[in-house]
Amino acid sequence: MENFLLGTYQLISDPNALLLFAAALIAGLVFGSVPGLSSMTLAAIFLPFSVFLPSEHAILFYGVIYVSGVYGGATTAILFNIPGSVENTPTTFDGHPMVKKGQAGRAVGLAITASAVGGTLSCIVMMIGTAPIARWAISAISPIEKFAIVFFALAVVAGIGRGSFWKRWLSLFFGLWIGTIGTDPVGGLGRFAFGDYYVMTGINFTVLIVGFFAVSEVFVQGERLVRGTYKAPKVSVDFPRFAEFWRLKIAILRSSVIGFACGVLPGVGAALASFLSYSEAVRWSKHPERFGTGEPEGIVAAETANNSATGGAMVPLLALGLPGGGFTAIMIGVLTLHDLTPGPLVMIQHKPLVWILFCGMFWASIAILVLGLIETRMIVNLLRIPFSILGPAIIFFSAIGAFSLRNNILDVWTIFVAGILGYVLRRYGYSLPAIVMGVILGQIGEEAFYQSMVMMDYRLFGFFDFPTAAVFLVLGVATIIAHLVRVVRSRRPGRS
Amino acid sequence: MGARAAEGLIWLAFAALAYFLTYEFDQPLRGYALGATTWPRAIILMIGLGAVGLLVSGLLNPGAEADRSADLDSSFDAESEASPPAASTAEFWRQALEPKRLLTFGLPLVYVAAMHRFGFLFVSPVFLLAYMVLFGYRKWRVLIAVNLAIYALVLLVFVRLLYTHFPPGLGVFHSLTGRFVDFIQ
Repeated sequence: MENFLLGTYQLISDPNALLLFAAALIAGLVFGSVPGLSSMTLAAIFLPFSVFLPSEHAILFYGVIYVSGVYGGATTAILFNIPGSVENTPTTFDGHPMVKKGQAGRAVGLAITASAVGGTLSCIVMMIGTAPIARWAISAISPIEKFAIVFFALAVVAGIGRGSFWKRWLSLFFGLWIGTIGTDPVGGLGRFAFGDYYVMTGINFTVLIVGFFAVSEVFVQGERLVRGTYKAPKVSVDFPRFAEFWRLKIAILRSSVIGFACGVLPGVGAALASFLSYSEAVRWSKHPERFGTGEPEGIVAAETANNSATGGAMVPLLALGLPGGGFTAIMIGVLTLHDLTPGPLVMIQHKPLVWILFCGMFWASIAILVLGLIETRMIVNLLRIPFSILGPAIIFFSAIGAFSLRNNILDVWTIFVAGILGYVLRRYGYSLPAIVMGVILGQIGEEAFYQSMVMMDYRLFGFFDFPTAAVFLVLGVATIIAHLVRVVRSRRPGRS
Repeated sequence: MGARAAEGLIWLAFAALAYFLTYEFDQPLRGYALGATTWPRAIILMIGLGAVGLLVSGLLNPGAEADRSADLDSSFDAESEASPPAASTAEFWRQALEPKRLLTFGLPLVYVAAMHRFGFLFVSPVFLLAYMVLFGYRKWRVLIAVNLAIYALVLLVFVRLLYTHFPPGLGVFHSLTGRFVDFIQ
C-alpha cells in the first residue's frame, strides 16, 4: 500500500509527470480513436524523443498510452468497424452491428465502462502479484509451453466468426503463411521474398491490420458511395444504464480473469485475451445466437479482457524482460534506451520507476471512465461527418501510420494491397481476424516450435511430457473437435 | 461447378505454387535438423487440406451455393450485396470494370506510386481532393477548407512536433521536400 501511495505521490507532486500523464492519456485516446492510426503508431514515432525524458517519465508515458490506446481502438472498432489494434477486433463483431441499429452511444458507453473496470482490476492484481506471478511464469513457461499455448489460441480463433468451417480454417492458415514471408528465424534465409530487400524484412502485423480493416472498410463504403447505395449510420448518444452492467457482472468478472491470465503469457497477450473472452462469452451465454448481431455482452467481454491484459502484460515485461506483444516490445526499447536491463533487477533496483508506471496505469484506467464519457459525445459525432470526407482522410492517416512504423515504403504498399485483398476475402466470407491472428501467432509459434524441437531432441510427441503444454494441447484439440461437432449438428435437418 | 468449389480450386493452385516456391530456400540448417522448409510446408499442406475440404463441401452440398448471402461478411448487406449470379460474362465484366469502381481501388495504388516518385508532402493534398471528389463530395469551399485543415494538422503534428520522416520523392522532389520540411520545422 505504501508503494502505491508513494507512486501516486510521485505522480501528482511532480508537475512534469502530471503533464506527461495528461498528454499521454489524451494522445493515446486521440491516436487510438483516429481510424488508420493507433497507439502503436504514436509509440513508434515517440520512441526517439523518449531519450530526452527521465526514465520514470518515459515509462510512465508509454504505460498510460498503452492503457488509453487500447480503449481508443475500441471506439473506431465500434463506430467504423475498424479496430485500432488486433485486440479490439472482437469488439467489431457486436459493436458495429449496434451502430447500425442506431445504438452507437450505448455501444461506446459499454466499451468505456468495460475498459475502465477491466483495466482497474488488472492494475490492482498487477500491483499485488507481479513478483509471485513472475516467479511462477519463469518456471512454468518455456518455449514448449509457449508453442502449446499458441496452438490452443489458434484453435480458439478458428472457431470465432461467421462463414463456413473450411473458410475460417483457410483464413487462419493463410495468415500463418503470410507470417512466414520474410526471413527464416533460424537460418536467416529469405522466404517467399524473391530476393527483395524490403520483403525480406517481413510483413508487419500492425500494417496488415490497417490494410485489412481500415483500408478495406473504406473500399467497402467507397464502393457504395460511387454506386449510390451508401446509407449513413444513425447517431445516438444514449448511454447504457447501471442495471445493464449489473446484469453483465459475471461476464465482466470472467473476462477480467481471462484478460489478466492471458496478458501474463508472453507473446500472445491481449489479442488472445479478447478472442478467448469473446469465445467464452458465447459458450456461456443462454443466447449464443445473438452474438454477432449487436449483443452488448460481446463488447463487454472483449473490452474488459483486452484492458485487463494490459496489467497482465506488465508482469512478464518488468519481471522477465519478455514482451507480451508489439507495444510492450517498444516499452522494452524505452527501458533499454535508458540503460536499464528489463528483468527481475528492474523490480528491485528501480522501485520508483516501477511504481510510477503501476500508479500511472491505474489512474489512467480510472480517468478513462470520466474522460471517456465526455469523449463519447464528441466521438460519436464523428459519424455525422460525410463518409466522402472521412474515407479519404482514413486512407491518408493509414498511409502516415504505416510508413512511420518502420520508415518502409513497402508497408504503405502493403496496406493498400491488403486493403484490396481484404475486400475480396470479406466479400467471399473469409475471416480477416483469423488471418491477422494467424500472422501474429504464426511468428511466435514458429520460433517456439523450433526451440521446442531442439529442446526435445526432435520428438514431436515430447510436448506431452510437459504437463502445462499437454493441458493446452488437449484443450486445443478439444476446441477443434467442438467446432467440428457444431458444424455437423448445424447441418442436420431442422437446425439453423 | 459452384462458387465454393471454384474457390477450393483457387486455393489448391495457390498451395501448389507456394509449395513449389519453398524449393528456393530448401536448405539444411546448422543446429536445426528439420531444415528451413518444415514450418512453411506444414502450413501449406494445411492450406491444401482446407482447399480440398472447401472443394468437397462445395461439390457435396450444392444447397449452400443457392444461399449466396451465407458466406457474406457481416459488414455487407446480405439482401442487396450478395453477388447475384451474373447474367452473362459480359455483364460481369461490365460491372467489374465500371470506371468509378476501378478508381476506388486504383487511386490509392496510384497515390503510393506517386508518393514514392514525387514525395508524400506534395502528392497527399492532390490525392485527398481527388478521392473526396470521386466519393461524390461537391461542396468546393468545404472540400478545400477540409483539405487545408487536414494538411496543416499533419504538418504541425507530424512534421513540426514529432519530426516524422515521410517518403521524400526522387530527384528534384527529394531536395524540394527537404527544403519544405526545413521551412516547416
